[in-house]
Amino acid sequence: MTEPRDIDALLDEVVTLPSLPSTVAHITELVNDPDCSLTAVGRAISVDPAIALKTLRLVNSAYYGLRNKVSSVEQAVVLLGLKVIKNLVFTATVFDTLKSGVDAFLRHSVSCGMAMRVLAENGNAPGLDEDASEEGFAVGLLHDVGKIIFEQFVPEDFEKVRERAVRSHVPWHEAEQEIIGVDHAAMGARLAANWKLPGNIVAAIAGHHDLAKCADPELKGLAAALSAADYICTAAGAGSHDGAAPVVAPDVWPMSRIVSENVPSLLDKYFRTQSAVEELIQIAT
Amino acid sequence: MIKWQKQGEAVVGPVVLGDGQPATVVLVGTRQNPKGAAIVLTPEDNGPLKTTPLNDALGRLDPAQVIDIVCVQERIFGNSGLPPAELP
Ligand SMILES: [Fe+2]
Ligand SMILES: [Fe+2]
Repeated sequence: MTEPRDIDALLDEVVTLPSLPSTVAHITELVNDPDCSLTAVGRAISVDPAIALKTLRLVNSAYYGLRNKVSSVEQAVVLLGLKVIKNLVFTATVFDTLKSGVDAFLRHSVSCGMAMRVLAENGNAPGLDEDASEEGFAVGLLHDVGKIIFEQFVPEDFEKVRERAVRSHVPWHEAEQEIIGVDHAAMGARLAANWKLPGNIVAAIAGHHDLAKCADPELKGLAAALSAADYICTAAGAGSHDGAAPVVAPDVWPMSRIVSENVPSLLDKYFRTQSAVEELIQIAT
Repeated sequence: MIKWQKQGEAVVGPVVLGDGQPATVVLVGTRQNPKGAAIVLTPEDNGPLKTTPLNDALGRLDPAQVIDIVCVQERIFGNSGLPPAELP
C-alpha cells in the first residue's frame, strides 16, 4: 500500500493525468475564437473519424430530440451551434475515459449528467453559463472522474477504499482521504483544471462532497446542485459503486434551492430521461 | 437513506419527520395513484394510527427523504425503466 499523501506528491510520483484529446483541445480553441467559422469547426471534428461518428450518433439520439436525422457533422454544427457542439464533442471523448471503469460507473456518470441537466432546466443549478443544460450535463458526466484515475494509478488502494466504504459504511470520499490521502473530488477538479475547463466546472467538482472545498463561494450553489444530482441518480438505482450510500450535507438543499414540495415533479422529469440515458450508454460503449 | 423492507405487497420504511415525530412510509402503488405512497404516523400513548398521503406530508420531510421515497416507489411500482430496487 502507498502511504497517504497530498495531491501534489501523488501527481509527482504516481499519477499522470490523461491529457485532453487533441481534437477537443483544438475545437475548444476554435470555438473560443470570435472569428471562428462553423465550417472550420465541422472540419476539425471530421478529421477524427471516431469522434465524428460519436458526434453524429449523439446528435441523432433522444438526448437532443431533433425531428430530422442529421447525416453530416457540418449539418450538426449548423443545427446545434458552436457551444453545444463543443460540449457534445467533449462528451463523446469523455465517454472514452469513463468507459474504462466498471459498467456501473458509466451509468452513474451519464445518469448524474442527466440529473444535472434536469436541475439546470429547473433553475436548481445556479452558476452555469447561458447553455446551462449542456454545461450541467458535462459537469455531471465528469464529476467522479477522479475515481477512474485512482482505479488506474493506485488500484490496490482503490480496492481498499471500496472495501472500507462498502463494509464499514464510511463515505467513499472519506475512505479515499484516509487511504490515499486525497479524494476523487480533488483529483477530478485537478484534471478538469488541467483540461482548462471553465472555472465553474472545476469548482463544482471540487466541492461535490464538501461545499467548503468549493474555492469560489459564488459557486457553492452549483456544487450543491451536483451533490443533489449525485444523490438523485444513486437513489434512482444508478449509484457509482454497489453498497456505497451517498451522504448529502443538509445545506445542499437550500443552496440548490430544492424544496421537498417540488421534489416529486423534479423526479418525474428525471424519470422521463431514462430511455435517453440508455441510448447514451449504448453510444458510449 | 431509508431502510426499506417488503411487507406483503407493500414496501415499508421508517422515517423521522422534521418535527422529530417517528413515522413509517408505506408504498403500495404507482406514483400516479394518489394513495400509492402514504406516511403512517406512529401514535403517542397508544392513540389511533394516522395515515397521510405522501403528497400532503411533503413539507414534513426533507428533500433527501422525499427523493428516497419517490425513487424507491418508482423503482418498485413504476414503468420508467429505472433499475428495480432490491429489498431484503
Ligand atoms: Fe463523487
Ligand atoms: Fe457520484
